[in-house]
Amino acid sequence: MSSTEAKKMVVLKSFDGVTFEVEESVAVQFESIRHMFEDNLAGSVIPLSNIKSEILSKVIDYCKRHADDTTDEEDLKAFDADFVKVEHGTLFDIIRAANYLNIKSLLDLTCQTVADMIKGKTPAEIRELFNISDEFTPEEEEEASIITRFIYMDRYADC
Amino acid sequence: MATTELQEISHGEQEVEIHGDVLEAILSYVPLIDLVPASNVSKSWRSVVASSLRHLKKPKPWLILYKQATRLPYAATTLAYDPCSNRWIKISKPSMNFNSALKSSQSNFLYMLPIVSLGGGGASGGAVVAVAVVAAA
Repeated sequence: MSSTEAKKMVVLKSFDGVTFEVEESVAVQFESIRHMFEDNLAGSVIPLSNIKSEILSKVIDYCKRHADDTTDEEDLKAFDADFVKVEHGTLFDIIRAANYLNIKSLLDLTCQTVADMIKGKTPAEIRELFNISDEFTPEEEEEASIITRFIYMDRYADC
Repeated sequence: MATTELQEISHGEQEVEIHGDVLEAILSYVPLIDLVPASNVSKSWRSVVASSLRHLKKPKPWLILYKQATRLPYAATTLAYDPCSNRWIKISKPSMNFNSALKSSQSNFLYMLPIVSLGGGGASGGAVVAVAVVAAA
């Protein structure tokens, strides 16, 4: 088929050995490995040794959607909103992958999602949200709360 | 079979920790004011907040306003505007009781411009007397 011939394919291999064949138009969004397939290494497999297949397939899914010019903006927004509705652990894995592959829009989307969760929360609430154990000793805690009180600011409702 | 193994692996990792690099990336999207509680989450969070401020995009400076009532007891308030979060913040400490003492001052954290006097004595709420910019150290 002439249409498939025209599309250059890139093969990516995840940490657990699963290979993914993606169109070059999708893979060009992976800024950090772009040079590898642009240097005419057609047919060779690009190993992504620190990304699990489960995460890589999500990332590819995202990039496919965003490479598709026919998707309208509303649909894309809905897709993005849905895309980040995953467990925290998965979200952090996606951030790590986006960071490693240097996919700016995906990094913006995922980091902003977590940043919005952090905004306006107290340290205790953040600990609870991410299941973090409190490593501070009571003295350190007291010191921290003094510092917080010192710079803590009352939010202004309407100003 | 490979898929079941994989599922077990991901289930085993339920207790997720945000690693330094990921957290640093996330914190660069958190407005400056919300980094205060974030730095008190844990020791590792504190060090990541510090390195995030050093390495990643510089936080935008805050606009600081001093307001003083034009009548007795000349109560003064300090307000800050954080452009990243689009929020007004009332700074209660350190308190400025009288702006007359506030000509210009310098430290690592707060830079103040000399008092700008705005006339219009009849203003009910008080007049803005000084504008300063906080530069993140």
